[in-house]
Amino acid sequence: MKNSGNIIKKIILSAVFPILMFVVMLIITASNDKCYVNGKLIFLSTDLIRQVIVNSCMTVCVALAIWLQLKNGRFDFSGGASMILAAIIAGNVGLMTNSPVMALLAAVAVGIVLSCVTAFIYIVGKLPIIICTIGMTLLYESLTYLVFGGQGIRIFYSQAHTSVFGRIPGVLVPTALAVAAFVIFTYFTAAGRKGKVLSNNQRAGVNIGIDERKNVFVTYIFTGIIIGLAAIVYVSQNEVTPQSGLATSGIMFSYIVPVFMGTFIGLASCDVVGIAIAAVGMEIMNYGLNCLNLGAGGWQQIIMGVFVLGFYTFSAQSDKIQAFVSRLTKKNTTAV
Amino acid sequence: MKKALLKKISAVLLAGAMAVSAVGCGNSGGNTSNNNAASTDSGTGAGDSGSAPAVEGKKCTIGVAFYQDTGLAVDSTKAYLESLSDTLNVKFTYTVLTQTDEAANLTKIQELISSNVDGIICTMDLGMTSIIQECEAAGVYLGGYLCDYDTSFNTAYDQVFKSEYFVGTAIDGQSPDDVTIGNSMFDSLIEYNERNADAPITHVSMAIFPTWAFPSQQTGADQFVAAVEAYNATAETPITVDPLDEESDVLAFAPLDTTYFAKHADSQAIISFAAGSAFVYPTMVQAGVDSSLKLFTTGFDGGEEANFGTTGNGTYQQNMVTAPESITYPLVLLLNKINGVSFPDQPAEAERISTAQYVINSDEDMAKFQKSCFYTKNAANAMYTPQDVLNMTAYGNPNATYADLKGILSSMTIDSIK
Repeated sequence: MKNSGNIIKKIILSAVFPILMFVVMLIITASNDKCYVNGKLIFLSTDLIRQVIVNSCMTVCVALAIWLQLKNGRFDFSGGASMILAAIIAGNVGLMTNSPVMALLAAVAVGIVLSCVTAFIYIVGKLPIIICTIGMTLLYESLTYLVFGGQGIRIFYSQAHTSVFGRIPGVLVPTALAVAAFVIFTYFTAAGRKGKVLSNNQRAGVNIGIDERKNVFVTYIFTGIIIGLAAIVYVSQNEVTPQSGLATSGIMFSYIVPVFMGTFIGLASCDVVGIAIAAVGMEIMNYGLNCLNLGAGGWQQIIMGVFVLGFYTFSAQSDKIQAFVSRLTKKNTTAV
Repeated sequence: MKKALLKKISAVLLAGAMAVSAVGCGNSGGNTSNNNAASTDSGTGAGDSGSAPAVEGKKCTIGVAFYQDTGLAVDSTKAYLESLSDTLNVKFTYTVLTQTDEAANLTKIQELISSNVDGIICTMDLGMTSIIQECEAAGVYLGGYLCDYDTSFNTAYDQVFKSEYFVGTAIDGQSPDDVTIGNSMFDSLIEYNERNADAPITHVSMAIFPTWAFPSQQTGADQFVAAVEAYNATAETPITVDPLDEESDVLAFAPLDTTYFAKHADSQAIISFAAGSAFVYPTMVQAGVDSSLKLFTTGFDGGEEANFGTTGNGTYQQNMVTAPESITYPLVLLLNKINGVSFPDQPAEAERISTAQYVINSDEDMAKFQKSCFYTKNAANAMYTPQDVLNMTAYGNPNATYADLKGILSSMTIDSIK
């Protein structure tokens, strides 16, 4: 009984953020004439559900790949380059075979191979993770100019039969697989648990007999799977062109906001749920801003930046806020 | 002991790799000189054939500064230029400019100048006054391509267009004072409706880039609206055009907002004067409206043919592109300058010339377009052979005129594809 109560409490706490975001954006858009077309509030159209699901799926896949490395104490810059390179190769494979499933398999395979190469260089080279992954990013980016004549991949996303993993309902498949890969690694493998020890205290972990190199390798294999799944969603929704100058890191880190928000929201349940919930909440906000014609340009960045900063500040001070609230409650009780 | 041995082996391997690299570089240099020799031979061979002119142009290098480094337009232009290299005795070298940073563009041009180019073809009007000063100081000629140089035309005409080092520009479509794109879009819409009389398009919305950057797009949109109004005066089935919304229909060089479709809920087609393939179509796909809405637009990035006309989802009903062969205009003018000659009817000041465009608005047009140099990136499909281009120069053909050169730009239509 107590358990089921706890679960309900967790569900409610986790759902608070997107519900609040929805209500706030609903109030703002409903009070703005720009959001009405032929007397209908466009924020409440079915387009909202479609856009939020499609965009959240992409965000969740990339955010999980980022978080898996961060969780294990590594800030990996090469994830974006791996994703773009995997997307180009997978898209071309998909076109050649005329099969989105082959593209998905190719994306995952390339994602794993590239991640393993990064892990190998990191382990053998004994380089700091930032230097290693920036170097690998530059290498993978240069490869985007070499594979398939440096043309990237364009036509894949524009054909309904090849881009099934970028549309509803197909987009849910790679997202579910990415979540499954993350959950299996984190909660059901020894490497996942050992990774937690290593990220908390590397020396202690090694001293108690954890083979760090093996652990890094296994982590990268799972990251590769998730990156491959992110790549198939990305190439199913976008034209992918060759990239240079660490531009791929920019692509990847544009999805980082839900990672940090998700870790806080996830306190009520678990990190993977938190990331998914944060992604949904942010996409609701994006859609609302689009309705207000603030979906692009300076104002969107300012609003997003202020909101994210405010959220982080709130989450960082949450203990103090909690203590303050409990003090207030105590005082009130004493007064009564 | 073991480590020392490993170190020695590594050192030997690395030294070996360096030696192989050095030999590789040496061979590469050798090949280059052989290639140059081959180029000269082939040039002579052409002359021997009897069809080549008596005067051969100076050996020179021309830098081409593109707006991006890959893509159909860029690749096909490079293929076309490379096909001319031997006959014109020109080596082409390439760079990429930025769309936002004047200083970076100046640096790119300086790099070209320091690599000893004799002329430059530039696709961007950003930092032009500094660039032209740099070219004047270095004695390097400059031509424009795929750009109307409108900022320079309106704010620095004397410095740029009157400079003896600026030869003129071939515009990507119409110049701002000679806009016909609105009429062209309207014609394509009417042609579509005639082909689909049972389900004509009766409601459209538009998209443009900001007027400060592309004034001709606003003019084109106004022209389109005027054409529709004139049509509606007598039409049985009138067409409704959603007025341009400053906030949602003007794309600030970012993809169309996903809410565009909700804001234009009744629209059956988007008339995008902005580059629709890159800025409109991806959002249509993401929103899942690519099979229910039609798109009339400009630009062709590759892949549009899969959903063009009656193929695939049939989203695209018009694309419009400039032939890569239009680079012939600044190229010939640069070669004349480098060779110290000019046309008898050469104007005193540089001009900006509108180019005709491939307007692709039917399956037949698309079939023709797929044979073009633009689409195939194969110079064998170009409208002009190297010999044709040589004959356009004042030194290659004493009878060549500026009027003829201008004329080729207006002839590059979909019907002229071989």
